[in-house]
Amino acid sequence: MTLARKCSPQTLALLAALMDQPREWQHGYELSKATGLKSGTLYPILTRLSDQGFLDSRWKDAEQPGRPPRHVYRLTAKGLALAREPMKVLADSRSGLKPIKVGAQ
Amino acid sequence: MTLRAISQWLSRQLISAAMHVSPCERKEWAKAMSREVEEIPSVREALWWSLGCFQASCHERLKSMKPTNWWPVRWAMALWIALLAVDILFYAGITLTYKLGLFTGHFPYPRNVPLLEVTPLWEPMLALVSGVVFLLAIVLILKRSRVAFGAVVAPFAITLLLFAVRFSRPESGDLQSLSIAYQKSHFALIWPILGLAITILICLALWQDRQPPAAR
Repeated sequence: MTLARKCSPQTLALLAALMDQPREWQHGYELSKATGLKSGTLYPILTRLSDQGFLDSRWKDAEQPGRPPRHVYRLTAKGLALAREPMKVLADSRSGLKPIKVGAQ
Repeated sequence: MTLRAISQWLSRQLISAAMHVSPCERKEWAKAMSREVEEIPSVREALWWSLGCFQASCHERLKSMKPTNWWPVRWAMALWIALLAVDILFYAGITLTYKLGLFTGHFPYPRNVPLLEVTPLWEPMLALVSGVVFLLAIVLILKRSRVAFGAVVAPFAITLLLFAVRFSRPESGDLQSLSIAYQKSHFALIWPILGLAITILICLALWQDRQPPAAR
């Protein structure tokens, strides 16, 4: 069984949200909005992904002056590979019929 | 005081509690969660967010808690291992005394105990080594050394092996003793099972204690 198949639906939803903009740093609140996950579910998943090296995090200065910096997240190369895995599985399962060999009799 | 003000106050209290509850290695994450509250436009949503932060901090705190952090737990574990050490050293001492004829020069010791006769010398020797390692484990548990896990698991495995070997011998009468005890009361097996469970739990606690703290 691959690592991605062991992920919970919540983790998969988060991975999908992070995959939508793989190069962009995203805030926790944005991710919560995108996935529908509450903060009590979202942050334990974020910390776990970060501990396992799937997620990069840093503090980003606020665009408006006087506001405190915010923590932002994006997938690492390892995280991108993990996130692509379930999508590939989904695409494979949707393809339905086995490919027909050209020239087979 | 309006409902809005109460909600904001409650939200701040929850965030403060979340920061307090969060373990040291997760303080940055708690701070990250708390910063997001300031960006949430709806007061009601912010309150739910704060509640989630508190829940996540409690979750992290529970995950970081180790039973071996408390000295009474460590002393109780050491006491249990001491009991195991005494038990196995007593067995090793009695058997070696009989097998080697130690301290019996002044007394014509009858060599007629069937179980001791069939027991090979390596068994009490191994038991002696296990007992000594158990004694060492007591010190290691109290000092919270990471080696304590190995110092408990290795002699525990040897003890189980020795028990299985002894149990398989008809001269031991262990099987008969157990079946008689079981016939008298179905709960008779609870004590050996409980003993085994306590030792396994100690092994698990020591294994958990070996794990490095979560990354920042």
